[in-house]
Amino acid sequence: MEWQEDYKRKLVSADEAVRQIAPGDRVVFQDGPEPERLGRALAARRGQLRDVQVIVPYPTVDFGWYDGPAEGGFAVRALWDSPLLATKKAQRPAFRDAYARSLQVWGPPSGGNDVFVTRVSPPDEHGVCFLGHSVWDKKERATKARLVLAEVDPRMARTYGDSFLHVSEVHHFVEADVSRTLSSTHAYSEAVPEYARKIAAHLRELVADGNTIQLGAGPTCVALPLAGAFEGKSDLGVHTETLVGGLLRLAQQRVITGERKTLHRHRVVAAEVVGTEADLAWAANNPIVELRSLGYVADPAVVAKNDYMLAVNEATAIDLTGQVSALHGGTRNGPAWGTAGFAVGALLARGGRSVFVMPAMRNGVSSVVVNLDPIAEVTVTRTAADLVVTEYGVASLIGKSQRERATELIALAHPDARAELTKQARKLFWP
Amino acid sequence: MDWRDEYKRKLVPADEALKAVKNGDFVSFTTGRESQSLGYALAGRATELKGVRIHIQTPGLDFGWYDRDPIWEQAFEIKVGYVFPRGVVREWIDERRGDYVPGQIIPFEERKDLRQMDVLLAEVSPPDEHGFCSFGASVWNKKEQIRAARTVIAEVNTNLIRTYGDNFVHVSEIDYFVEYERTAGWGIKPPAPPAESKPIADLVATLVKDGDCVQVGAGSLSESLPSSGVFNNRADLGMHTEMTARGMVRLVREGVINGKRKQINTGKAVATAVGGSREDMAYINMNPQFEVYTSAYVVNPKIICLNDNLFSINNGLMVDLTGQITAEAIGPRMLSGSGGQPAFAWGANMSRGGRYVEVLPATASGGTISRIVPLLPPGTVVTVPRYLADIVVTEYGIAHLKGKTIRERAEALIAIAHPDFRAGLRKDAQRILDM
Repeated sequence: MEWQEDYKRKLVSADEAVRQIAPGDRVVFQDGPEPERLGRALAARRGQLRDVQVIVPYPTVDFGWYDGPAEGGFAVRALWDSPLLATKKAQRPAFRDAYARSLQVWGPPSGGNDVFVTRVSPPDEHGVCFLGHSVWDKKERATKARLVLAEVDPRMARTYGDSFLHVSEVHHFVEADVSRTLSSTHAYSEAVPEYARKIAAHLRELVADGNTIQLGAGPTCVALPLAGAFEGKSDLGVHTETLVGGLLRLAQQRVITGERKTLHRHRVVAAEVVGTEADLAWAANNPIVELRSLGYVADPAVVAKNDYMLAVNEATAIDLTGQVSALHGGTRNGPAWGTAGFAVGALLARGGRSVFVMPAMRNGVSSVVVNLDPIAEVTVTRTAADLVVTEYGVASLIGKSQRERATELIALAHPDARAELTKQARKLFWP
Repeated sequence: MDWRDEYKRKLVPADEALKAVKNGDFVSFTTGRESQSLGYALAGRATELKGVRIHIQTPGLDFGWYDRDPIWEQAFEIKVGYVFPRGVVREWIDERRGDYVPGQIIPFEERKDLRQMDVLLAEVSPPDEHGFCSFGASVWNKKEQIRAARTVIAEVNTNLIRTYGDNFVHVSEIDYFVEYERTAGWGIKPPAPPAESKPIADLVATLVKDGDCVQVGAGSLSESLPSSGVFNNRADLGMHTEMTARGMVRLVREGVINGKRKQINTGKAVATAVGGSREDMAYINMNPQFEVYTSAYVVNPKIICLNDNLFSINNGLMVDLTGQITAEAIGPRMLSGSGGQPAFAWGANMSRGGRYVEVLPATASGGTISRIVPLLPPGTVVTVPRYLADIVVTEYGIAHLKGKTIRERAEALIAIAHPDFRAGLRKDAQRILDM
């Protein structure tokens, strides 16, 4: 069948599309702006559908189902807390219900009874629908789901890489309501705090021409390119999870060329792009920017294929032996997905290094700690800790003893915290 | 120059060779057992040396310098990379008189920028007809260390075996040879298998599939599993392991491990350290079925994952209800080291069809302490992070953790705790994990 005919046959109303959802299904919404028409149509079936689980990674649209507890076997779960959920009493994601992410899986693993609900561009002349500026885990979920429902939205940009689904891979299309604005999952800000300038100056010393960069999406990381961390460098490459505006602009200015990359040479590789409208416009339809699945870009074996990989991520806290906790937004129920894969992958790469950046103090609490909170995730074990940067300098932990690690990390701590840290370190590591 | 002349010229008594060590030098023993004669000769210079930094990756022999004595303390500043539960440095480390160097997921000697050694103390076999010496039963990171060190002194022991793989060094790469006869093994008898060995082996056996590529980590429980029958009645297994646990060599001999279905080193049993009984060692000697490589190759996640269906079994000390595992410390007290565990946890998770299994008895200290705990004690070193924890097995059952929520993990782990502790764990889970 020609794809045009296939598409026409599959283009239905939202009510028709959600009629395919059956008891026992698990409905997984894409990460990113929820397909609203499908969500509302599904919400309307709430009374009829029993034994259905709905997972919305990051709720931004109120479908009316976040107000009360699960009813009639129709259970809704969010994976991440959001401003919308903050206004609701029930349904806020609890630590107990957080998915302890595993290496290749973000959120719940895909299952045979999954219905995947996503948003795509209208098909191009080849019958290919694009996933826009975020590929994330959409391809894997679409491939493994029993049923794929997609809202067709002309605002979903054409991007290069592995960033599309063919009409044949989707079961039903529904036209999106383009009068509604697309919400963002990222509270994206380009503020450059003073401490980030100091961190950027230290990081700049660690960056070499030709490095392939991975940069996290935490507030400190986002500020680093804007604060000059890569100033004066040449022929950098990018292999990252979230491509942030500041980094993207360095590709525009040809500081990032990918000339020396040993994987996807001359390409900026990421799983999603966030930034200003101008950034997003530049990344669209741009063969330099290749968007690929999270499970691929953050796989340590793939990361390690990039010689001179430099992974830069934000730590929440680091203990005196070098155990790193890196949690999304500082909450205890949001593991930073790719951080560990990049930190370890970089160490496995030829000439690769891994850097954790953090302000020495957050809200009066030292980021260098004697012990991590036992409930905190040890995101990177001390066997994989390498460089640590705060506004007070750089610590290099590989090959260092406990005493050396403690000494170097205390020197990076906020001056107000050093006396107490030193006292505790003496007790732990000296006679 | 012919290597024979070179060897003869470099052959000196231990005292003579150790004159290479100067005040303030950085001296390292190779990983594995220490070269005995060289260690004693170095200790013998204690009164004349000052501030010599010594790294001992795996302390096994007592050269005297762990004793409390100002002469030792002025001469030597010692760091170790591993603590054996009842070994020679137990008291020294508990009193924090010495320093401990955490292991790395890849051997740092590969990175020349990171550590420069002045003198390396090694152990090798006599040279063969081409001038190549063998490292015997273990290669570890010895080749990288030799390349990094300014001066290399090697104890020459005629009892070391020769193996295939990457297990040799040329006479030209060593500066001094000291001939010294001693037995080939560590001289440590494997501890008796714990009572939980058989039931745990039976449970883990249900997870093993024909064609799996297996790794078995160090530790009295995990090491006992091959002999307790964990791989019985399986076919075409492969081996890619850090060390050969007791019983693994027998499985190669019997053809259960034949490496037929491995993607790399097909048909070969791969390790960085081989060992076992005297008969096992004799069987491995010059046996092309076995290949011994540097740990940068064997214990490297990006190599480990190249074999599909990697089945990794490692020994845990404690696991919390969220799946964080320690295999090396309780609170800040170091009980062993990370060893190859983090690398195999990564590699098994990255391998297509790979599985990572942590084994531990449900209780410790005669049944008075549960090894499954609500949270690890503060300061505990996490060996395997939550997101790599896959399958945990005690004598009470199997907990599958991958892809589960914290609540589901806690339930699965409580179900394999000792029955006496389950109610308490459930209560703690309600309080701490908000269940």
